[in-house]
Amino acid sequence: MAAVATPTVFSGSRNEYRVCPVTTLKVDVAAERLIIWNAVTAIVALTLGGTYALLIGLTRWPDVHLLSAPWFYRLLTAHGMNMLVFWMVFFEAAGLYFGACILLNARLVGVKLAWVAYALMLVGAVMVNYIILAGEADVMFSAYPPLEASPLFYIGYILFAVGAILVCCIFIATILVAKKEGRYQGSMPLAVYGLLTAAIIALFTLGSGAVALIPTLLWRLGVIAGIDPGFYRVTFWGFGHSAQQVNLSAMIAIWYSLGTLTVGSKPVNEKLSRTAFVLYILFINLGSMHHLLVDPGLESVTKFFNTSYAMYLAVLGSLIHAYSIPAAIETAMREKGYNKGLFGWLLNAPWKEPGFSSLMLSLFIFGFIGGPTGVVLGAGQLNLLAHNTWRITGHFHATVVGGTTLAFMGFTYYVIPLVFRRPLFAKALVRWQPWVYGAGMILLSVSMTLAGTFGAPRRHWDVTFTNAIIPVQLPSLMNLMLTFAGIGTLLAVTGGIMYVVVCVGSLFMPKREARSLNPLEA
Amino acid sequence: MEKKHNGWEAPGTMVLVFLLFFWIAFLYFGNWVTLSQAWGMR
Repeated sequence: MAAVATPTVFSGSRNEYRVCPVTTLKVDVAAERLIIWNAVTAIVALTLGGTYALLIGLTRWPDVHLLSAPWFYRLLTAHGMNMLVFWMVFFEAAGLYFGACILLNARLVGVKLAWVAYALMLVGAVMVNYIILAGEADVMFSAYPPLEASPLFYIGYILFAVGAILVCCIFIATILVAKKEGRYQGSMPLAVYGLLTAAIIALFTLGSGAVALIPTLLWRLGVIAGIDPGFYRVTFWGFGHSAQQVNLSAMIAIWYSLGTLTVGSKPVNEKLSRTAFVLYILFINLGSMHHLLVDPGLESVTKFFNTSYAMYLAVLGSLIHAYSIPAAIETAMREKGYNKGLFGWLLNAPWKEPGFSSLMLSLFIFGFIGGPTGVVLGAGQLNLLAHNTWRITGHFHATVVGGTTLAFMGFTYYVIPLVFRRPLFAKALVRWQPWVYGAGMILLSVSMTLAGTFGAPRRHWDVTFTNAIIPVQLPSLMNLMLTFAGIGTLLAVTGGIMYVVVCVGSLFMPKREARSLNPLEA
Repeated sequence: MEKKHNGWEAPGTMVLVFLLFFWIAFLYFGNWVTLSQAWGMR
């Protein structure tokens, strides 16, 4: 459908709009282009990160042990940057523009600035990838000083962060202007509220990143003599872990959206859900303390306060969502007549629809594996046992990957027909993709967690210490878990390839308006 | 006016959330046992 200008509705705006025939929402065409470019770039980052994941996974599988040590650490650094930062933030930028403009029927404020933000993020991401692959930044995701990376690594990182800050500012400005212009009445939709939470957390997260990375850059440029590693660790994790809380908030906003899109659910109590988001803004940053629980530079009082008291307020927010979202789905299904027994609504749910299966698998993996393991690891005394073991990696693969990435994948299947305006390619693949990816991530994260419990360290090229002067006897169960993790990697990468094939294939499908909200029928 | 809800409109979810609580409690106490073993207290 051709874009339609709507000067009578949006007076004073030069933006161009089209009307989506399925949702009847007005879509700012400028925002739509940005959504497409950011989403496509996110998928490129995911493809790179996934390729590195395969090679890393095949190295940690003791019987395969593919890469040499330098390439293992190099690709582990690149994997962390692409997955934890570039894939997530590019996708979230698309999500923020989608939420602010499409869900609020609003115009995008500062279109040129939004393209500048995209360019900064793109240049930053390309620089970081290039520098890492060139062997100039074998410093891991955390880049702890005194490990040294090329100054270009930090410059790329900072350029990306500046672009991300601009995206958040444009998102907030768009919401404020939409309110002023009367584009929506009353409170903003819950999904946009969740995205606003993500944007607010992103702003102080990126601020913390700047405090860590700018002095480090100055140190690498020789402007200042040195940097305090203890100060870096505290401020870096204000960025490194909080960035994952941005992903968490965005994921929950997407969970609520997918519930509405797939079964027509409505939040059982909007005020409660909004309160849970506010708890995130106030307390979730304390998750950063996970990384500092065995840090010798911090006093015990700080650790006790953050892990024993304040953290529970953040967890309370997650528990509210853990109840609200399935309860909304259950209520919607019961209203449709699926009332039989306690779980008749669950058995009759649309499991073949990729948005729904992604939502429920993501909810399960995050709710029963990622979240609870994080709560346990966040207890100071238990962290003493688990710190820097593969348990930590098992935890965050169940949150950021099995949770957030899977939710983002499910949401993509709606974005392609509705925003890209192309039917999905290979619908049989689409139906199976969340299951394959979810099963791979469950196997991988549980195996990592158990291997870590048996003592496998994280970020380690060879836990078997091949050819060591003093031979190391591994517990046989740990060896088994390392192998299972390798198999889980293969399965998850297969699911990832299915996702990329569907996305790339869909880009080559003939352009047409969506015919149905169900992505398999659109 | 917004319809008033209570949790029992979603009894299946209530059961799932109780399971989640038990699971978290299991993880906590399971780990405490491991911890106390590691510290030689058992």
